[in-house]
Amino acid sequence: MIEPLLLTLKLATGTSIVLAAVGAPLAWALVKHRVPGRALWEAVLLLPLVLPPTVLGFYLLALLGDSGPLARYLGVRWAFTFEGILAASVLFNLPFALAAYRETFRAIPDDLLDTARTLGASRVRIARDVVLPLAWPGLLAGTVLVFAHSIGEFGVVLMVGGSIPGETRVLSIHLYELVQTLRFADAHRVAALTTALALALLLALRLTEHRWRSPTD
Amino acid sequence: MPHEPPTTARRARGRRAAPALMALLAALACAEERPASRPVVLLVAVASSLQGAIGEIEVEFERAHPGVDLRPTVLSSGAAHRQLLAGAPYQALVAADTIGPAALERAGRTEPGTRVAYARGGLALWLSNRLPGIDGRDGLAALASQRLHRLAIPNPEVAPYGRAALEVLQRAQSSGTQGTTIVRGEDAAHAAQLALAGADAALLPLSLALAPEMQRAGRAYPIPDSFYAPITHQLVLVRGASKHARAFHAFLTGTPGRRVLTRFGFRVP
Repeated sequence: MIEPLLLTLKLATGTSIVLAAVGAPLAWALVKHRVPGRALWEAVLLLPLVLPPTVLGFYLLALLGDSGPLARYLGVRWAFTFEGILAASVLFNLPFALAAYRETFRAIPDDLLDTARTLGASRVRIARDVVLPLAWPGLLAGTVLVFAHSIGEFGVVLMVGGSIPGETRVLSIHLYELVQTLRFADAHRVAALTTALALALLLALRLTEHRWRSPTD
Repeated sequence: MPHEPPTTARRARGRRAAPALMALLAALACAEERPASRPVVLLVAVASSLQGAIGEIEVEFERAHPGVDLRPTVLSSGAAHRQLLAGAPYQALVAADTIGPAALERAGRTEPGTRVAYARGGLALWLSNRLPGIDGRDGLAALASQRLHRLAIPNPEVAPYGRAALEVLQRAQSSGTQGTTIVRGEDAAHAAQLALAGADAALLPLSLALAPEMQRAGRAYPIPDSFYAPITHQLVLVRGASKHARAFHAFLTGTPGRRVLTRFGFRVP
């Protein structure tokens, strides 16, 4: 049970880091810049929330598999690897991260940014001294939510990653396999561990969020 | 909106809850520990009809080959075949049919000369204890019973035992199984799970129907061979398989492997 647990935590950590790095700028662009075809972009980025995980998994497998374009032209073989399920998890969690980040950025008044710009502040300085101090509680909350949500990852991971021990067999898949093979006693332990882990995270979030205050609250 | 500062009592409670949860997590994580040494990992895909036997095969193989950590992934023969074609890193396919191994061989993805039949599987009728008083000894008569409302079978599209089950059902149709709903499990293991969860009966691999969990909840009756086409199990090594995979191949087709397989209701060549 240690190995699937560590793998789950690794997947959740990786997903959170990638999404914080990619999702936050993306959300910023969607909120604060005039992106051509914004409605379409927003709809496309929300797709993973609505699509069945099997559809997402099917496309990803076609893309990442040995006969897919990535393998053929770039030599990237990600099906049944940790990188593959990380990519799947990032895509699957993208709508959650974007929703949280967008609300956070939307709450930053445009006047404030304009003022900073008029006073001659550089983009880096605005990001560091204006945006981050105001947005970090929202960004952190969104990222923790992504982390917690990654623990529940199942359908896409199963399709893209199979159940390779030590590589793609995360807690949820391990549990599925234990149930499949009628090992109910072990299954109960894994289910309880997963529940405890999720509860601990949500509880930690709930108990600490009052300390995450941005100066505007 | 200003946030009401929490009272010291609430804070203290929060501080106590977190370590308690962490301790619970740690305790659960330690409940199923593995030895710390790092032997060579050997990944194999195993058909779900072997799920009972594979545990013992793993133990005995690792005892005979101490440096090797056999890591089986249990799935339907169809899924194993599909995953291998897509590049899954298993070194051997222990299938419940000949379709996957033959297709992989045609695709040039196997080690030449390693595709062999290692077992023949039997189909069994499993009757739940919820349904007492039906005699399963004549398989077809029990299937025709009016009291059989839900019958679980593995999915015939991907599971070899599902195809055999379908054959048996087609035979029984003449004696009438109109009132029965057929519930399809994803593979043999899923069908067994459905059977435990609420079907009255199931058509399953004998090896699965004999598993302790199934025996506790019902009883199994072998279905006569003449009712379905033989279920030949083939084994093949994937191209580039290691010497450990070859050792596994030799183990499964040799005396020790055959002994375990026989114990789980398989017939060996």
